[in-house]
Amino acid sequence: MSRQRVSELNEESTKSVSRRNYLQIGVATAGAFGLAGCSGGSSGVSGGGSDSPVKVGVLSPLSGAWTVYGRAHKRGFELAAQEINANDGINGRNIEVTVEDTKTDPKTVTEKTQKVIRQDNVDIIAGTFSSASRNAAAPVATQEDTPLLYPTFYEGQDQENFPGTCNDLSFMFGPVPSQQAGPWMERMTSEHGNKFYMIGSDYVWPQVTNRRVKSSLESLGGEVVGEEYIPLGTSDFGSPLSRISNSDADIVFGTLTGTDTIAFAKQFYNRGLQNEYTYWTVDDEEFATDGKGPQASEGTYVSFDYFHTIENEMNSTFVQKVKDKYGSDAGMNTVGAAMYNAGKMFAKAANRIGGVATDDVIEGLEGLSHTGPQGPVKMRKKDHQLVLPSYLVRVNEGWSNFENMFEILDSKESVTPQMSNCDFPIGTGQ
Amino acid sequence: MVGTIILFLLPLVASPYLSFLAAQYYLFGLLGISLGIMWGYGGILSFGQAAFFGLGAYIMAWSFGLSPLPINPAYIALMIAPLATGLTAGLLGLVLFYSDVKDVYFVIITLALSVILEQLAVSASDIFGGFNGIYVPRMALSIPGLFSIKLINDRLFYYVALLAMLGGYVVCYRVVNSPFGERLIAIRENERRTKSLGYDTAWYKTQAFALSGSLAGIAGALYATLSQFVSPPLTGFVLSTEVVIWVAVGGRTLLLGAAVGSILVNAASTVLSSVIASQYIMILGILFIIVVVAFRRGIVGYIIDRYDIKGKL
Amino acid sequence: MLDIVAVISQIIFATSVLIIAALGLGITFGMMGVINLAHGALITVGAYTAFAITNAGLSLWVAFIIAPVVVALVGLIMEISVISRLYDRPLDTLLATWGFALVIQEVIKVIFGTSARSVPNPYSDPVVVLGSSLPKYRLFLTGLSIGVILVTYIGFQYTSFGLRSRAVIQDDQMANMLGTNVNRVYRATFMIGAALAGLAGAAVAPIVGVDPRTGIGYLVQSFFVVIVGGTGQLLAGTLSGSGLIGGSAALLSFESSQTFAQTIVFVFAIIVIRLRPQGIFRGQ
Repeated sequence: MSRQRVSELNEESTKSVSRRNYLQIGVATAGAFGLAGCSGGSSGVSGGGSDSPVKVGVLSPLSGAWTVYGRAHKRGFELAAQEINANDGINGRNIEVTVEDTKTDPKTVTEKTQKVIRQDNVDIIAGTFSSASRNAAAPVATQEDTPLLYPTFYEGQDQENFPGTCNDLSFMFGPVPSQQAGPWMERMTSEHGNKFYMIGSDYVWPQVTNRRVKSSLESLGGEVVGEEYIPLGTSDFGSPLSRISNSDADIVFGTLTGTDTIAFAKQFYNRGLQNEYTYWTVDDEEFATDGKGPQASEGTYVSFDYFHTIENEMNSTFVQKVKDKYGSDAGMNTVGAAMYNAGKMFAKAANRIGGVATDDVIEGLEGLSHTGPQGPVKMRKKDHQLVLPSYLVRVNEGWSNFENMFEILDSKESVTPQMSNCDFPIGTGQ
Repeated sequence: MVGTIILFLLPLVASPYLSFLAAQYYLFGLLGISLGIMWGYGGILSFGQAAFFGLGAYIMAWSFGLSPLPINPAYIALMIAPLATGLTAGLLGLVLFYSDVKDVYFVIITLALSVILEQLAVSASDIFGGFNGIYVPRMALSIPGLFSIKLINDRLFYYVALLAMLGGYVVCYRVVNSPFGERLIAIRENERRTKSLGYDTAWYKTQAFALSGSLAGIAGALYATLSQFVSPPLTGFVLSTEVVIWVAVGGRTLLLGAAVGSILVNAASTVLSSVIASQYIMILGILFIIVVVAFRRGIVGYIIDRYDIKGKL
Repeated sequence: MLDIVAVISQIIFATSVLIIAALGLGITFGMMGVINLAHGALITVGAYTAFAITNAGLSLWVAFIIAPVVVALVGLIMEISVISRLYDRPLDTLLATWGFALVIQEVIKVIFGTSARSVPNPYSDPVVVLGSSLPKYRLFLTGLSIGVILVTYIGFQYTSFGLRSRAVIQDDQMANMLGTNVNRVYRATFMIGAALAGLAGAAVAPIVGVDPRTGIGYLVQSFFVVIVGGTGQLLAGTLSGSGLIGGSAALLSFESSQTFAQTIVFVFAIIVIRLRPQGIFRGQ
């Protein structure tokens, strides 16, 4: 093709393109708006009237990397909503839950947060799972003055992460490191030894957790003999494991996350290291442990605020309800329980104050006491952090379901977390 | 022209939420155009456009982090981002194109670039904010001394995003219709012959790649201040592969196809993911395969071909 | 303090996993020029097959036979429906395989759900070698990788199919004229590549876990192995590529943080490609 022809053809096609050019973009975009505008969600009555529902937007990771946690996350809140509605709802109004999948992708979190607030007109948001997704939702929630109830165990609050943390609109229902690992440092070091090898995924939560644990350990006279951070998505742990087996650690303290913790546990087992070291993790709840299988998880110590196997009346009822609604194989974990607490406490607060306006919700939740499936909980007024129980468990040999997965070794009824590193006051202390 | 007027009038009737969505789509459209110019006209497929998009986003975040500055931080970012991303792309292009790297290898390398950058952003948390990301305030449109309007109103941002996309489109349109563009197309059609005619094909490809990188960088910078949150997945492999799908579905050989494809696929995703979450990806995958096998000019190309006699490229 | 046995064993182990994972890709790419971006998804299918089989009570060794067969069938479906139409369009093949990767991943999620699954490790105690205890399953994988290479070598050198496929790769038009059914050879080769991916999935399942994203990590690594090793000599290329990528990753990770090590390995691979664009063992 000679250059002459090429440019001729170029010109022809681009000319004809330009004619239809903008019209097409215009039509396509208008059409796209039409579609997007009519997407999902309810265009129901907003506010007013005692028979209009209270709307809650639930943002769960139902697909993508954190999917394994998404189901319990969503179910916890749905169950709470169901119970609330069966008990006269909130000030006589039913709760209506809109669930959106965040796809474990921050772009999607931003978009869905915008959608549930501005299109579905929700009164509050419950959920997001990772700190990253909470931080993505926060600017939108702050702009639109919508409360955010966050259920996941996380690294704690720091003013520099505002508006993700230290935000008067956010309430944290999951434990921070001083509530998860903190309470058990003494017991674990006295029973198993005080040399720690810390291995975690390479991001903030493990790093902050390790920092807290290290200072706690050192004040107990212990020593950190190794500290490693592994990129997310690693499947081969050969060299860290070699280093661990060459160290004189007593306890391997794990904050690996997602599927990495599963691969690590399997390779740890592959080398027989469970016979030489105690493996203590603050990340492997029911579903991650399920992924590891009985062989690789046996004997692992785990600590959280909630476990499926907690034996008290409230939890037995709770777990039974979960099974009735979702099947006999269904399991619950700390995040699901936190979402459940969030729902119940929200209703309690709103009923007490008499409204679901943002200021009412904040005022109602601050300082609120409640009994969750794990025991008594209280929303600390100053920094919106829930005071929670803490449990230490060990994985049983040859477990086969969520009921016989963990053995509860010890519990503390209430663990007050370290004060958050925020500029106070936040909340109604204005 | 009619279409452009429609676009400019839309925010008057649409809600702020729709304006936000549209602004988002336009920025993705610009990202799509950045791939379209390289792929459709240069024949070079990059599986790493998100690396530049994300880098642009981080530059915006860093710019705000350095405040207070005498100049509007967003303006600084919007100047630095295209330079930085364009330069990165250019350097990479110099290294790779001059060694005659095969097209398919280029795909893998750009893919790896996205993967590495995402991992780096997660671990170097002091610089990149790590996994938990960085908060970015909404930018302000300002003329120093005169006024400063923070773009909190999504309808206003809609116009900024629309202008950015149209601007990028116009730039690429000009490039494509210039002598440079013709040679780029010639390289796409038959590189060896173009080279034998005396053209430094590697240099042309590098320039195209640099242009592509800077457009993606601008899109990313604006996206950062629109969504107000920057985190590693913006540079990652998933977004990079998504862009390829947008452009392929829309029509890779047409700039318009790249833009429209990006807008359409994202709009469909917004709608369908609320309704049929997982099946949606399967459908998209199948649609993608069909488009690749049978509809090389994508949906836009198909429409143009059906309703228009002229226009063969 | 470097434990020599640990370092050497880690290099060998990392290399052997890469060999098993990348050989299938090397075959389709090296012999057919097909970039199979669905390779990771196929590995995942292999892993899930192993899960299904061990979950049904059968042993892992049975999975090692069935997984390759299952994934070869998936490969067959891919090849017949789409890939066979795209042999003259390499970039489009790449894209189409990516489309398949997405579809396969979603189908897996529909069938198996999204939770992580577990395949038990058939061994439990480590073996002591030169004062270091080494995991038995890793030693098995090392043996498997050698076995796979041998079988592939013998297959391509000494069987009539191997002869035909080497002819097709060298000059497919000539081979066609001489009576070889080129399309059938391509089909069979693609299926073999898929089967090897399936085997890889079953092989890593006990030490990595099974979830919809198991194979993705191996995708990029496999590509680097193939690109660095070059496509000229299939086995030598795969061996050297695996050794370089796996070995350098292993070595570096003893010295520095994992993240840094991985980044360096990628950069290193890019440099190698820059210097020798055809890989270490050049193609014809």
